Amino acid sequence: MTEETTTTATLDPPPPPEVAPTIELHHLHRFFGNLKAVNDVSFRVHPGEVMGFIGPNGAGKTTTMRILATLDVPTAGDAFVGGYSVVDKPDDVRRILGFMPDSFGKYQNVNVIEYLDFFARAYGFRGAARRDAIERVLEFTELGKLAEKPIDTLSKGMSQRLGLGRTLIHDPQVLVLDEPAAGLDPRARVELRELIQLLATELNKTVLISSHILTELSEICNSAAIIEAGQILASGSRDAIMKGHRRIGPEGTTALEVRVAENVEKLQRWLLEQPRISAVRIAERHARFEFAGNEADQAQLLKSMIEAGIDVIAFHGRAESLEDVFMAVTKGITQ
Amino acid sequence: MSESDFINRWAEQASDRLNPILVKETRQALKSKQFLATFAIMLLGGWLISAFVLMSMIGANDESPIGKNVFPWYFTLLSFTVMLVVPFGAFRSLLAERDLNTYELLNITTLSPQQIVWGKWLSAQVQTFIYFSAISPFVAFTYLLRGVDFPTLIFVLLALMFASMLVALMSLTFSTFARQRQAQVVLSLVLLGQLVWIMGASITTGTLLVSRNSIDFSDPAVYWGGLVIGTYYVALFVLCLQIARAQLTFESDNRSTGIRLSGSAIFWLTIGWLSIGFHQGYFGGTSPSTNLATEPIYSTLSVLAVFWGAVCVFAATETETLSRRVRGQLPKNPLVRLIAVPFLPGGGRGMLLAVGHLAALIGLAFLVQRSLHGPDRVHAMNFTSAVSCYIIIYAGLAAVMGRWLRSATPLFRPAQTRAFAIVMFAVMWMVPNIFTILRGSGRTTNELLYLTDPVHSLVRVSGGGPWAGKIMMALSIAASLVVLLNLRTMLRGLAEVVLLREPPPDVPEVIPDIEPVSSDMRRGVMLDSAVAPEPSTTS
Repeated sequence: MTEETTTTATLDPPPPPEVAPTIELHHLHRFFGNLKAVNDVSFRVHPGEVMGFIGPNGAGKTTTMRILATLDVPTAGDAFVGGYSVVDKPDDVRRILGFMPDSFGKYQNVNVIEYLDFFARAYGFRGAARRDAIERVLEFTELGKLAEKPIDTLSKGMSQRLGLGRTLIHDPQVLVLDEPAAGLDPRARVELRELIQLLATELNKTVLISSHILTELSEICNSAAIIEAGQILASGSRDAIMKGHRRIGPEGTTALEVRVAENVEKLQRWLLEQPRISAVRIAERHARFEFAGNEADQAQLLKSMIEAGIDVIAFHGRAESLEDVFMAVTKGITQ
Repeated sequence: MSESDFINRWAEQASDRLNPILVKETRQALKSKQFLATFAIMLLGGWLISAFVLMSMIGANDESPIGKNVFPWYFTLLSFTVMLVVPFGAFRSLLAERDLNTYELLNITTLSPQQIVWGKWLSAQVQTFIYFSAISPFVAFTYLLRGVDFPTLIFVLLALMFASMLVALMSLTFSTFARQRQAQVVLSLVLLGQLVWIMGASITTGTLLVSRNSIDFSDPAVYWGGLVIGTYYVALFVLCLQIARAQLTFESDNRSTGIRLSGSAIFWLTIGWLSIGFHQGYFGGTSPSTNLATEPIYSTLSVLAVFWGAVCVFAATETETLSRRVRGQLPKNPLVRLIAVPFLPGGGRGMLLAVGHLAALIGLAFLVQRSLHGPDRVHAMNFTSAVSCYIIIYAGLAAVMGRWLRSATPLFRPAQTRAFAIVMFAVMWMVPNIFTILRGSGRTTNELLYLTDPVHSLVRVSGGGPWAGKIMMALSIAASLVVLLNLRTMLRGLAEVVLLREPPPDVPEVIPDIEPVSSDMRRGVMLDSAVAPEPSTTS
């Protein structure tokens, strides 16, 4: 794997809805006594899609993922992985699903290659098939140099790589990754993100990933599901969610941001006088607003702004982030 | 290809056929400080004992055999490792998987719960084998010192090895119940105490057998005894395996049939050995004996009653409805399904299991009674019936209580119902006795007031006194009432399997109705790594 391939990997938009989903949650419920950890959760993830599963602590992300991984059973409802019910056919689900829990389980007195060898055997690989599977994973995770290293001496970043390698050992079509980037330093996080992007773009895996770092998720996901207090607040393609939960601006407008050297009040007055501008919001030395017009109109707007004597130092479009949507749809409810 | 390459390749090919957990744990053990330290201590201990014996022999004029005196030291060393260190290691092995967060990783592989248990157990046996190999030269040394019978020596060592195998499995089974941290601590202490006791018992027994050369291998009774012990050993081994497997099995899967079948096997094994023993004792002589030796029968039936009562309470307190998964695995033939009913999960079917087996036992006792003479035959028949009634009453009441508690709150699980049932029975047992103590004027003359105390009532029934008939009548009525209370559930359990009729859930509806999953959705998309459809076989 080269630097070029990792940096140029981009995600296509999610497949059209008529493609059969690889993961499907159907009115999933999981109650622990009076606590409704998962309360009527339904969403779909299609082949090759990377779905970000977003929610505050205690929202029900891990419980949902554990049900998908057949480590827990729903109180009601069902979930399907590759068409197999997690309740009725857990053995079949396990063959096509790789689950990476938030905590990395380390065996003592075991090195990297022995660790992968054990899980390859546990998934039924024998002889050359087992050696090939280990080789493939070592190559993908770039852990070949550490093959003989005891796993309890690995750094957090390398441990997560090994955890991802374990998840991939049986070449599953579906990956469920619970907070894979938690506790990683920035470099390890970027490297892990690139690996996950590769899984979707080059290996066409279906990935359901949860994380608290929303900026990071937005870079690797082409769809998202936002959960709070056990209930899904929004789900679908990233663009659809963004569109569905815009806080400002009418349909067909573009969010723009202008930064000025000084006198932001002058900019505000000028913006409010313009015909195709709405939802103006002023902050320290910059303004955000909605503009109804194409790119040529935006160029003309900038030209007019400069001609009006406004000291523009930056002028750019502002895409609403997942973080914005998350903050808009969640209410900070904790269970 | 060099010789080492050939050996490596052969070893790898051989390891492909082995349980993955065995391979992993053997690798770990070879690097583990605990294993190496135990092995070193054992060898060092063996050498020190040998050196001490040799030094004491130098210059001594006494030429009497001293093998008997030396053997206990080696045997203690071996027993310590294979009856304490190895079983506790097996117990810790599964707990460590939970502590290190690796259990779930193991659980989501395609390894079956049975493979996990076997893997852990086999790993323990590899260690046992290594320890036995290490101590064998020292034991051979005791034979050279004379005074030790060779067949007895081999017998004791084999018995220790088999005992260690069973104790390791029991420890492993025990560990499957320790899911919470507090439970782990408590169960660890309980197990450690039990293992120390078992180790002490095995050292005492082994030493006594060797020192007295007390096994007469020409006596057929030794082989009969060995056969009885052997059959129970296998049955208990399978039962432990089934319990451990059930504990590790996915919740929607069948966790009951294996335990029910193993329990049933032990039930019939006991009846079988009891029948053979009875036949030998009664008809073994030239003419039929006039007196029936009731004590061994009562003792065996009492032990069987405790065991079977536990199996029935376990089975009768399960939740009623079969999971979708188990229902999908039911045999297609209705006749086979009918036969399988008592062995399938569900409280109603658990009651059918209890009633069916005990009815067969009473029927058998009735047939035996007809072939006997003398008053003891009636007492034995009454005792068998009374024991059966008690099991029905206790299991049936536990089942009723379980259903009621589940209808009151869905939080109640079968395990909690069982714990509640045990407390309830203990209270029922104690109440008449506490009443007697409070009265301070001795027991009341009305024996029916002690009906909830099975020991008291069974003694009265087996003694054949004036109250025996009344107690029998009261127990029969109570058992019939309990069966009536459970009859609807039993019939529903039967219909669910035989007629494939889904009964209503036995927990209150806490979730709004959910539209059924369409067949399209269930079929979904079959991925490249398509899996062969699951065969529809009996559970």
